[in-house]
Amino acid sequence: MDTVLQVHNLSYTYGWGPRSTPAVRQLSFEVGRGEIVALVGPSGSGKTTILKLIAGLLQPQEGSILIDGRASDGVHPDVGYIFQEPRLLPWRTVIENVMLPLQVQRLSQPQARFTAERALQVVGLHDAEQRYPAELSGGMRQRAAIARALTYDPAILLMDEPFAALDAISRERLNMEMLGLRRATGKTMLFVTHSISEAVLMGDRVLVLSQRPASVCREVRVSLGPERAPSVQDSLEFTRLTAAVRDALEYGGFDLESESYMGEEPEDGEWLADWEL
Amino acid sequence: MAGRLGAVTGQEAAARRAASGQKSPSNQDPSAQDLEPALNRAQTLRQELTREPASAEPRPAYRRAAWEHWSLAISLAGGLAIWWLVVIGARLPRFVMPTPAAVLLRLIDYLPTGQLWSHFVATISEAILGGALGVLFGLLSGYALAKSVPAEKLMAPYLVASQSVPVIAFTPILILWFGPGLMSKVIICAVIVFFPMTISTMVGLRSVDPRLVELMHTFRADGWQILRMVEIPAAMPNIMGGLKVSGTLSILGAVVGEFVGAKRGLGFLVNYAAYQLDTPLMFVGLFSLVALGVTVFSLISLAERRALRWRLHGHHR
Repeated sequence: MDTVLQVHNLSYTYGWGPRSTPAVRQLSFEVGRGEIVALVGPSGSGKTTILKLIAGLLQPQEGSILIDGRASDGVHPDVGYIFQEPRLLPWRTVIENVMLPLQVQRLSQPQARFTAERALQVVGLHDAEQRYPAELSGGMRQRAAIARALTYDPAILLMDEPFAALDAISRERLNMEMLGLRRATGKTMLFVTHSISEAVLMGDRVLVLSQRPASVCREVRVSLGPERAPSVQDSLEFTRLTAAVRDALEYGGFDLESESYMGEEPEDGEWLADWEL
Repeated sequence: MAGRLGAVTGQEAAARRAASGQKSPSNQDPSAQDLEPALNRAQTLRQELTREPASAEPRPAYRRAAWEHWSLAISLAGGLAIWWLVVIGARLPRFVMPTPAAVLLRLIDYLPTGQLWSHFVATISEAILGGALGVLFGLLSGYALAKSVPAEKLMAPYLVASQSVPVIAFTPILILWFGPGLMSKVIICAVIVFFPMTISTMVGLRSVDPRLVELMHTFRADGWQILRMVEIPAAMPNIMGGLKVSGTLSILGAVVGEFVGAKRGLGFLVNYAAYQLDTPLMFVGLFSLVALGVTVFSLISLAERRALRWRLHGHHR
């Protein structure tokens, strides 16, 4: 399997001097073509920073990022970014929103419309193309955002807690649809989540990040196979995998060098209180 | 298509289970058979639950009562009636308060001279030229203020001053500099319109959601595209509000300028009629101004409704 994304020795610090906050430290990992990789880490561990660095919205201070073997000075052209909020322009209809990146690329109107309609079909939203974002449910809005990122056919989709704002049912449904999308298009996806079960349900691999500054402290390979139904969550294997990720998260809070917890030492059981289990 | 994949595979699985259940019921142990309907129920329940919630229904149209279609006519007729009754009842002399009929007769008398039209044209050209100039500069300076901190710092004293002093107080000096003709009124209108337009543009551009700008960056949009596709549409509600205020203020500016020094215009007409104690003519001038103001306001409102049509759909904020 060839690699789409190579992150090597990536470091990033916000601010400078005594008030600086290191967000990412010597982070390295790779993502293969067609792979879905989940990044899981404690709140404020710099997950979003990592995605923004890969997209080129932030410039790395150290290390390198290669997408399809290419580095980029600004925003990488081969990246589709899906935010936690759908970020649709409220004054544009669904189809006009999906056409937006193509208009930025100065595609002709008919061509842009054709491509946008196909993308809307892929996410099953072609019936709603003339509606305004305010007329859609949360799940439909996020699907429009996914369609918008598909229009320019990026090599990798970066997703920053894409379904965190949705209810559990819509979220599970969209999780399944993203797997279907990968089956249909072979898209590579890197997504950040704070839900352990979502990470295991969607990911081929789960990269567990340490506390800030983020680095990969454990990699969990998800041995569920590419075809997954929601009922896989009831299997023993799934439970075993989520337990492994949870263990890794606890371990990640432990700094091996100083042999102490970074930040406040958790009370027994309190450590996982933030986590959606 | 891909969107329905999860549901489709689920249905197939259910169908397969049902089919195998029918073919060889005897092969399965009784507990599994009991389980079959329950599984099917669970399947349909899951499908029910995972169905996308219906999106916002179109708002039910507000049904007007019969009289509401005539509300404007009723309101105007009522006003006229009260006016007439007051003048008749209090026996007010004509030069203090004429009856509506007297005003109408004066209008019919005055129209053939063609002077009303020329006053009208004078005022409207002052207001439109000056207003357009003020709006244009207001948009530009509003953009500069929203984008540049030094520009804001340098302009701030003038903005504060303009908010605390009536610009009308500068009218005499502008008339002195630019004469009693069109030019001075255009400048007055432009100055009056400039500040509210600047402020509403600035506020509008400042209110643009930075997350939408970040989104545009992920598409590698340039500054001009971000301005055209995100910032201007996002600022449009404020800009339209500023335009509405500007329309009214621009007419105000023209009339005030004509009061201070002019040879033509509706403001001049009202002032002139007052000196002549020709109160009916004064009312003709006043009503012409009302008609002009209402027309301008309605046109801008119409433009606003067209530009912000998307707000009629669903719920915003």
